[in-house]
Amino acid sequence: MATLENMINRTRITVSESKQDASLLDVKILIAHVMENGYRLNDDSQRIPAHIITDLSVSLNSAVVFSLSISTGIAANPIFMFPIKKPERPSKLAVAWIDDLGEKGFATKEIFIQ
Amino acid sequence: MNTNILSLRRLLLKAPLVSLALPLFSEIRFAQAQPSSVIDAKAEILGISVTLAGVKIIFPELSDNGNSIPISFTVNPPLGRSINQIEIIAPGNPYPKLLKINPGVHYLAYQFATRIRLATAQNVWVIAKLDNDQVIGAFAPTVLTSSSCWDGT
Repeated sequence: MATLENMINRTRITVSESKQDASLLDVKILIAHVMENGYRLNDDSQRIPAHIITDLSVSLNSAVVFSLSISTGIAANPIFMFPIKKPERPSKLAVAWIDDLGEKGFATKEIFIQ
Repeated sequence: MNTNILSLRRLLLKAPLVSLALPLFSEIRFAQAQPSSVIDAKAEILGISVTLAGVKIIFPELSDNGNSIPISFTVNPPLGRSINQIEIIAPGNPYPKLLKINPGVHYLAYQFATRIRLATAQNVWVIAKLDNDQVIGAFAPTVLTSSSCWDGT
């Protein structure tokens, strides 16, 4: 059931200071999703239908950081890690995704600059 | 006269040494020329001509399970160029194009990490399309002991 609470709880964003470069922040996005590739069989030897996230976009203060087109080749419970430039003011990082059955998910993370 | 003969003798003694040293210098020059020839190396993947440069992939050479393999990569475009699109390609998979990244304004470091599925042992490619339509990339081989496609469990 795609309730609002469920949609938010399925996507988790972690932001931390980059260890390599002080001007960057490391972002980690973890999504709880089966990412069923459509090739596996169940106990009755019936093919399990595909169910994958197809599109994901990441934005910082409404400006797109990047968008992803995803296929069956991404593992279940996908994780995406990347650095972004450290913003100069408090900002909001947002993630939105949609899968091939029309389910959607989104999450936001406030970034506070000390 | 005597000194001239001696100096000529010295010169003749040194001649074999010079002839030995010349190939050494040419070897050094050849070794210095290697990087540019590597940069110019090209390969073709799914009909796309790729220049093998500018991409560094961190990927395990041996994977027990094809269901979840961590991959991370860094793309360094040539000076003055920006990246229009980055793709992860596994030619041995039923759908070879695993992931397409369309960078936006804040994605400046061109680093990315995720976990992928593989059907078989193969070379996994990361290619980047530049703003001048050039494609740069690299590949990393891996060996699988279990495919992610035919698992009934």
